[in-house]
Amino acid sequence: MRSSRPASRPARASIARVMAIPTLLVLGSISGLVLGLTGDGLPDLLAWGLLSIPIILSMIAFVRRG
Amino acid sequence: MKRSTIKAWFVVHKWSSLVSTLFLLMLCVTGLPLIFHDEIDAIVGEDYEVMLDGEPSAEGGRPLDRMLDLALAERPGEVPLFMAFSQQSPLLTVTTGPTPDADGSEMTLLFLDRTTGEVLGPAPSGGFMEFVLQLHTDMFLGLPGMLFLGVMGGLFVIALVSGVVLYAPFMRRLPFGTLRTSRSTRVKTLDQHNLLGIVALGWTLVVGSTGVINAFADPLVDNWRGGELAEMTAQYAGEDPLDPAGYGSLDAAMAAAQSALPGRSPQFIGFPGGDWSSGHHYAVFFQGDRPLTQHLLTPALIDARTAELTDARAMPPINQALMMSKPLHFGDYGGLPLKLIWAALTLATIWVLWTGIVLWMRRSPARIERRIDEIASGAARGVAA
Repeated sequence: MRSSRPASRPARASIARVMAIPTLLVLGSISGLVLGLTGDGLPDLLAWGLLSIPIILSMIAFVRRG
Repeated sequence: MKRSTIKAWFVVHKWSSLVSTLFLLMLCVTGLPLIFHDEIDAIVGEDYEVMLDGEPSAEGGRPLDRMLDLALAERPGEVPLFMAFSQQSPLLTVTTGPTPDADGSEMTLLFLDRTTGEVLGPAPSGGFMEFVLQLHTDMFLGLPGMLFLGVMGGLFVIALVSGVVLYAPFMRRLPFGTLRTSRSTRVKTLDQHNLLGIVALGWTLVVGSTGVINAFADPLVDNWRGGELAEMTAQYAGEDPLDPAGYGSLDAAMAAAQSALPGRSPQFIGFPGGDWSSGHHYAVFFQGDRPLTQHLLTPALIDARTAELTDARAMPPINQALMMSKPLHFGDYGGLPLKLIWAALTLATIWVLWTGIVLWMRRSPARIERRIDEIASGAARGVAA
């Protein structure tokens, strides 16, 4: 029995893997912010959609916490 | 990443946050009502944009010379400084002051209806929203206050970047979005800090950096006036500033400006001697002709005596960056849903700032070393901190 390491400790993921979702979120948010500037109607809808993703993801995380 | 590198970033994150956090909390709290200033103005009956009916003042209505005379009759002995147009309603505003180079505090803003030719009276002032705006812009300290808040915004951007640098190794053993609740309060607080900080990152980077650019608005305008504007009007350099009695027709000037920059909508006119013009020109600022360039203003300089065009030239890139950064900071360009998103992300930022303070207050020297170990090796579910 390996008591030196907690059994639940997962392996370390690469930095690229850790930063994949954050990078997509940043790119999505910035695209949303700029798209909203390009016009009314569809560009605004896309901006709302892209900028809602961070809010929805954190709501999911808070609901599923623990 | 080496442990010593992480420790250095930890120190950067701690100090850039600590120095700026109270000011950032103030900016977030005052920013919340400012997001909805149009809606709030409408509720208290101060939104003339929706109350007036008729052709937008940028497109037509009574002659500009007539509107200016009406405004000046309200302010005897004063000189005109600005005339601004609305793209939505007949609302036309005229700013007057005792002298052409009057300070902002001496100016009076009058509202007029360009369709009916009616003076609506001085712009509502001194209300709650104006107080909030002033606090948010310069804390009632003028230019030094603005620049100070700009520096705080710069620290905020540094805190965001250093926060991401620490986030990456810390999260190597945790799936994205982990919020551990069965561990200590500190772990719970830290996870909330990390999650909200990382999801809001794109928005906080944009709103933070555009806020910094806005803080330098006044020096950037001065720079344009002393640089490119001086160059455009070099032939007038030796002459005394034009006396307000010698100002010629605004309508003729507007016609000359519109034939220089056809198809564009005017946003405002800077009168001679002010921050936005030379001593001899009406500077007519036009919006761009596409939605994306709508916020990019291009001035046409019209000799205020003869109504002849001197020059029309796009502003320098740094001033264009300033103009583009305004909507991106205010969040007022995508309807109410975008404003609600702005508010939600502001609340998330307040929570990140607050949890940051809480984490700092519960510190002890020995624990800091443990935290750095934790970041270096990656936090895990099985490790109680």
